[in-house]
Amino acid sequence: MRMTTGLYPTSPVTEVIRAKRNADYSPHNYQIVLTVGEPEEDPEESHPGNPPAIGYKMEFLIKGHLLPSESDSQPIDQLCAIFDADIRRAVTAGGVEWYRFGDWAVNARVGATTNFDRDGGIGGVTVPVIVTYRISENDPYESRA
Amino acid sequence: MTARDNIAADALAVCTDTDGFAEALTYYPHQGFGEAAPASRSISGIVVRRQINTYEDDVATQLKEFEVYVANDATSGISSTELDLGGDRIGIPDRDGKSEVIRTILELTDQDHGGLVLLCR
Repeated sequence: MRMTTGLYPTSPVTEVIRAKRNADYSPHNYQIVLTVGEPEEDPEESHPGNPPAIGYKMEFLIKGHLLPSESDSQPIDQLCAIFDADIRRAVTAGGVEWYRFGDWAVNARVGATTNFDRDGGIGGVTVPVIVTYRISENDPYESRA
Repeated sequence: MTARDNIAADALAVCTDTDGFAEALTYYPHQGFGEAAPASRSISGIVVRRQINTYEDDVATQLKEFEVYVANDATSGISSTELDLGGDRIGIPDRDGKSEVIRTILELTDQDHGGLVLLCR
Protein backbone atom coordinates (compact mmCIF):
# COMPACT_ATOMS: atom_id res chain seq x y z
CA MET A 1 0.00 0.00 0.00
CA ARG A 2 1.28 3.43 -0.89
CA MET A 3 0.11 6.64 0.74
CA THR A 4 -1.40 8.21 -2.34
CA THR A 5 -2.13 11.84 -1.83
CA GLY A 6 -1.76 12.84 -5.42
CA LEU A 7 1.70 14.28 -5.00
CA TYR A 8 5.15 12.80 -5.34
CA PRO A 9 6.94 11.36 -3.42
CA THR A 10 4.79 8.86 -1.62
CA SER A 11 5.85 6.57 1.18
CA PRO A 12 5.24 2.84 0.63
CA VAL A 13 3.33 2.20 3.84
CA THR A 14 3.21 -1.51 4.57
CA GLU A 15 0.85 -1.66 7.54
CA VAL A 16 -1.23 0.52 9.85
CA ILE A 17 -1.92 -0.95 13.26
CA ARG A 18 -3.17 0.09 16.67
CA ALA A 19 -1.13 -0.91 19.67
CA LYS A 20 -2.62 -3.50 21.97
CA ARG A 21 -1.70 -4.23 25.55
CA ASN A 22 0.43 -7.04 24.24
CA ALA A 23 2.48 -5.39 21.51
CA ASP A 24 2.41 -8.47 19.32
CA TYR A 25 3.40 -6.61 16.17
CA SER A 26 6.89 -6.77 14.75
CA PRO A 27 8.31 -3.38 13.73
CA HIS A 28 9.26 -3.01 10.10
CA ASN A 29 9.97 -0.44 7.45
CA TYR A 30 7.15 2.02 6.65
CA GLN A 31 4.87 0.61 9.33
CA ILE A 32 2.49 2.99 11.10
CA VAL A 33 1.41 2.44 14.70
CA LEU A 34 -1.43 4.56 16.06
CA THR A 35 -1.67 5.23 19.78
CA VAL A 36 -4.37 7.24 21.51
CA GLY A 37 -3.81 9.48 24.51
CA GLU A 38 -6.25 10.27 27.27
CA PRO A 39 -9.03 12.83 26.72
CA GLU A 40 -8.58 16.17 28.45
CA GLU A 41 -11.54 18.38 29.20
CA ASP A 42 -11.63 21.64 27.22
CA PRO A 43 -13.95 24.10 29.06
CA GLU A 44 -13.77 26.62 26.18
CA GLU A 45 -15.45 24.09 23.90
CA SER A 46 -18.14 23.11 26.41
CA HIS A 47 -21.71 24.41 26.02
CA PRO A 48 -24.41 24.90 28.65
CA GLY A 49 -27.73 23.15 28.17
CA ASN A 50 -29.72 20.23 29.44
CA PRO A 51 -27.80 18.05 29.15
CA PRO A 52 -24.70 20.21 28.70
CA ALA A 53 -22.18 19.46 25.98
CA ILE A 54 -18.68 18.80 27.24
CA GLY A 55 -15.68 19.57 25.07
CA TYR A 56 -12.60 17.36 25.11
CA LYS A 57 -9.20 17.33 23.46
CA MET A 58 -7.53 14.07 22.61
CA GLU A 59 -4.10 13.48 21.15
CA PHE A 60 -3.56 10.72 18.60
CA LEU A 61 0.05 9.79 17.96
CA ILE A 62 0.87 8.50 14.49
CA LYS A 63 4.19 6.74 14.79
CA GLY A 64 5.86 5.94 11.48
CA HIS A 65 8.62 3.34 11.68
CA LEU A 66 11.61 3.45 9.35
CA LEU A 67 14.02 0.56 9.06
CA PRO A 68 15.82 1.09 5.77
CA SER A 69 18.23 -1.50 4.46
CA GLU A 70 21.88 -1.14 5.44
CA SER A 71 22.58 -0.72 1.72
CA ASP A 72 20.11 2.18 1.42
CA SER A 73 22.14 5.32 0.72
CA GLN A 74 19.31 7.80 1.33
CA PRO A 75 19.89 9.91 4.48
CA ILE A 76 17.57 8.97 7.36
CA ASP A 77 16.57 12.61 7.96
CA GLN A 78 15.39 12.81 4.35
CA LEU A 79 13.35 9.62 4.75
CA CYS A 80 11.87 11.01 7.98
CA ALA A 81 10.95 14.31 6.31
CA ILE A 82 9.23 12.59 3.38
CA PHE A 83 7.38 10.15 5.65
CA ASP A 84 6.28 13.05 7.88
CA ALA A 85 5.01 15.03 4.89
CA ASP A 86 3.12 12.03 3.49
CA ILE A 87 1.48 11.30 6.85
CA ARG A 88 0.37 14.96 7.08
CA ARG A 89 -1.05 14.87 3.58
CA ALA A 90 -2.92 11.65 4.29
CA VAL A 91 -4.40 12.96 7.56
CA THR A 92 -5.60 16.20 5.98
CA ALA A 93 -6.73 14.68 2.68
CA GLY A 94 -10.44 14.71 3.55
CA GLY A 95 -11.23 18.01 1.86
CA VAL A 96 -11.40 21.51 3.32
CA GLU A 97 -13.29 20.22 6.36
CA TRP A 98 -10.92 17.32 7.06
CA TYR A 99 -10.63 18.52 10.66
CA ARG A 100 -14.24 17.55 11.36
CA PHE A 101 -13.73 13.86 10.53
CA GLY A 102 -17.27 13.57 9.20
CA ASP A 103 -18.88 15.66 11.99
CA TRP A 104 -17.34 13.56 14.76
CA ALA A 105 -14.93 16.36 15.70
CA VAL A 106 -15.24 20.10 16.28
CA ASN A 107 -11.68 20.80 15.28
CA ALA A 108 -8.36 19.09 14.73
CA ARG A 109 -4.82 20.09 14.05
CA VAL A 110 -1.60 18.34 13.22
CA GLY A 111 1.09 19.16 15.79
CA ALA A 112 4.85 19.35 15.55
CA THR A 113 6.60 16.17 14.47
CA THR A 114 9.31 14.57 16.55
CA ASN A 115 11.90 12.26 15.04
CA PHE A 116 13.23 9.27 16.91
CA ASP A 117 16.57 7.96 15.75
CA ARG A 118 16.76 4.88 17.84
CA ASP A 119 14.01 3.20 19.77
CA GLY A 120 15.33 -0.32 20.21
CA GLY A 121 16.85 -0.20 16.73
CA ILE A 122 13.93 1.58 15.06
CA GLY A 123 13.96 5.08 13.62
CA GLY A 124 11.09 7.17 12.39
CA VAL A 125 8.67 10.00 13.05
CA THR A 126 5.87 10.68 15.50
CA VAL A 127 3.14 12.95 14.17
CA PRO A 128 0.61 14.14 16.78
CA VAL A 129 -2.95 14.91 15.75
CA ILE A 130 -4.93 16.82 18.38
CA VAL A 131 -8.66 16.36 17.99
CA THR A 132 -11.28 18.47 19.76
CA TYR A 133 -14.73 16.93 20.10
CA ARG A 134 -17.90 17.59 22.03
CA ILE A 135 -20.28 15.06 23.56
CA SER A 136 -23.35 15.06 25.76
CA GLU A 137 -22.59 14.98 29.45
CA ASN A 138 -24.90 12.04 30.00
CA ASP A 139 -24.22 10.18 26.76
CA PRO A 140 -20.63 9.96 25.50
CA TYR A 141 -21.92 8.23 22.35
CA GLU A 142 -23.77 11.39 21.30
CA SER A 143 -21.62 13.87 19.36
CA ARG A 144 -22.73 17.47 19.80
CA ALA A 145 -22.34 20.33 17.35
CA MET B 1 42.81 -26.82 13.92
CA THR B 2 43.24 -23.31 15.29
CA ALA B 3 41.41 -21.88 18.30
CA ARG B 4 39.47 -19.71 15.87
CA ASP B 5 38.34 -22.80 13.97
CA ASN B 6 37.43 -24.53 17.23
CA ILE B 7 35.29 -21.59 18.35
CA ALA B 8 33.42 -21.59 15.04
CA ALA B 9 32.90 -25.36 15.14
CA ASP B 10 31.68 -25.26 18.76
CA ALA B 11 29.28 -22.39 18.04
CA LEU B 12 27.88 -24.25 15.03
CA ALA B 13 27.46 -27.45 17.06
CA VAL B 14 25.70 -25.72 19.97
CA CYS B 15 23.47 -23.41 17.90
CA THR B 16 22.26 -26.24 15.65
CA ASP B 17 21.75 -28.89 18.32
CA THR B 18 17.97 -29.13 18.30
CA ASP B 19 18.24 -32.10 20.68
CA GLY B 20 19.81 -29.64 23.10
CA PHE B 21 18.93 -25.98 23.59
CA ALA B 22 18.54 -24.99 19.94
CA GLU B 23 15.28 -24.89 18.03
CA ALA B 24 14.22 -24.81 14.38
CA LEU B 25 13.71 -21.30 12.99
CA THR B 26 13.26 -19.67 9.58
CA TYR B 27 15.41 -16.87 8.20
CA TYR B 28 13.76 -14.32 5.88
CA PRO B 29 16.28 -12.04 4.15
CA HIS B 30 15.45 -8.39 3.53
CA GLN B 31 12.89 -7.71 0.79
CA GLY B 32 13.14 -4.34 -0.91
CA PHE B 33 9.94 -2.50 -1.88
CA GLY B 34 8.72 -3.77 -5.23
CA GLU B 35 11.25 -6.60 -5.25
CA ALA B 36 10.43 -10.30 -5.23
CA ALA B 37 10.85 -11.90 -1.82
CA PRO B 38 14.25 -13.63 -1.53
CA ALA B 39 14.08 -17.32 -0.65
CA SER B 40 13.75 -18.04 3.06
CA ARG B 41 15.66 -20.90 4.62
CA SER B 42 15.47 -23.13 7.65
CA ILE B 43 18.05 -22.40 10.32
CA SER B 44 18.60 -23.33 13.94
CA GLY B 45 19.31 -21.14 16.92
CA ILE B 46 18.91 -20.68 20.64
CA VAL B 47 16.11 -18.29 21.60
CA VAL B 48 15.79 -16.37 24.86
CA ARG B 49 12.25 -15.01 25.18
CA ARG B 50 11.55 -11.89 27.22
CA GLN B 51 8.55 -9.73 27.98
CA ILE B 52 9.22 -6.05 28.60
CA ASN B 53 6.76 -3.61 30.14
CA THR B 54 6.86 -0.12 28.68
CA TYR B 55 4.93 2.96 29.73
CA GLU B 56 4.09 5.78 27.38
CA ASP B 57 1.47 8.41 28.23
CA ASP B 58 0.36 6.24 31.17
CA VAL B 59 -0.42 3.41 28.78
CA ALA B 60 1.28 0.16 29.73
CA THR B 61 2.32 -2.04 26.84
CA GLN B 62 3.99 -5.41 26.99
CA LEU B 63 6.60 -5.94 24.31
CA LYS B 64 7.84 -9.33 23.26
CA GLU B 65 11.56 -9.45 22.70
CA PHE B 66 13.69 -12.33 21.47
CA GLU B 67 17.43 -12.74 21.81
CA VAL B 68 18.52 -15.25 19.20
CA TYR B 69 21.91 -16.98 19.15
CA VAL B 70 22.79 -18.32 15.69
CA ALA B 71 25.94 -19.70 14.13
CA ASN B 72 27.85 -17.29 11.90
CA ASP B 73 27.13 -19.57 8.99
CA ALA B 74 25.33 -19.01 5.68
CA THR B 75 23.73 -22.46 5.70
CA SER B 76 22.65 -23.48 9.20
CA GLY B 77 22.69 -20.01 10.71
CA ILE B 78 23.09 -16.47 9.41
CA SER B 79 26.42 -15.19 8.20
CA SER B 80 27.61 -11.80 9.39
CA THR B 81 28.17 -10.74 5.77
CA GLU B 82 24.63 -11.47 4.58
CA LEU B 83 22.86 -9.98 7.61
CA ASP B 84 20.94 -6.75 6.87
CA LEU B 85 19.61 -4.94 9.96
CA GLY B 86 17.21 -3.07 7.72
CA GLY B 87 14.59 -5.71 7.22
CA ASP B 88 15.96 -9.21 7.80
CA ARG B 89 13.53 -11.29 9.82
CA ILE B 90 13.37 -14.57 11.67
CA GLY B 91 10.35 -16.82 12.15
CA ILE B 92 10.17 -17.58 15.88
CA PRO B 93 7.38 -19.25 17.87
CA ASP B 94 6.15 -16.87 20.59
CA ARG B 95 6.08 -19.78 23.02
CA ASP B 96 7.28 -23.33 22.94
CA GLY B 97 5.01 -25.43 20.75
CA LYS B 98 3.28 -22.53 18.99
CA SER B 99 3.55 -21.69 15.29
CA GLU B 100 6.27 -19.27 14.20
CA VAL B 101 5.64 -15.54 13.99
CA ILE B 102 7.93 -13.51 11.75
CA ARG B 103 9.98 -11.07 13.83
CA THR B 104 12.23 -8.26 12.62
CA ILE B 105 15.91 -8.34 13.54
CA LEU B 106 16.54 -4.96 15.15
CA GLU B 107 20.03 -5.20 16.54
CA LEU B 108 23.19 -7.23 16.31
CA THR B 109 24.15 -7.13 19.96
CA ASP B 110 27.22 -9.36 19.79
CA GLN B 111 29.24 -11.17 17.16
CA ASP B 112 32.38 -13.13 16.56
CA HIS B 113 33.72 -15.60 14.03
CA GLY B 114 31.57 -18.34 15.52
CA GLY B 115 28.19 -16.76 16.08
CA LEU B 116 25.82 -13.80 16.15
CA VAL B 117 23.50 -12.57 18.87
CA LEU B 118 20.43 -10.92 17.38
CA LEU B 119 17.73 -8.89 19.08
CA CYS B 120 14.33 -9.40 17.48
CA ARG B 121 10.90 -7.94 18.13
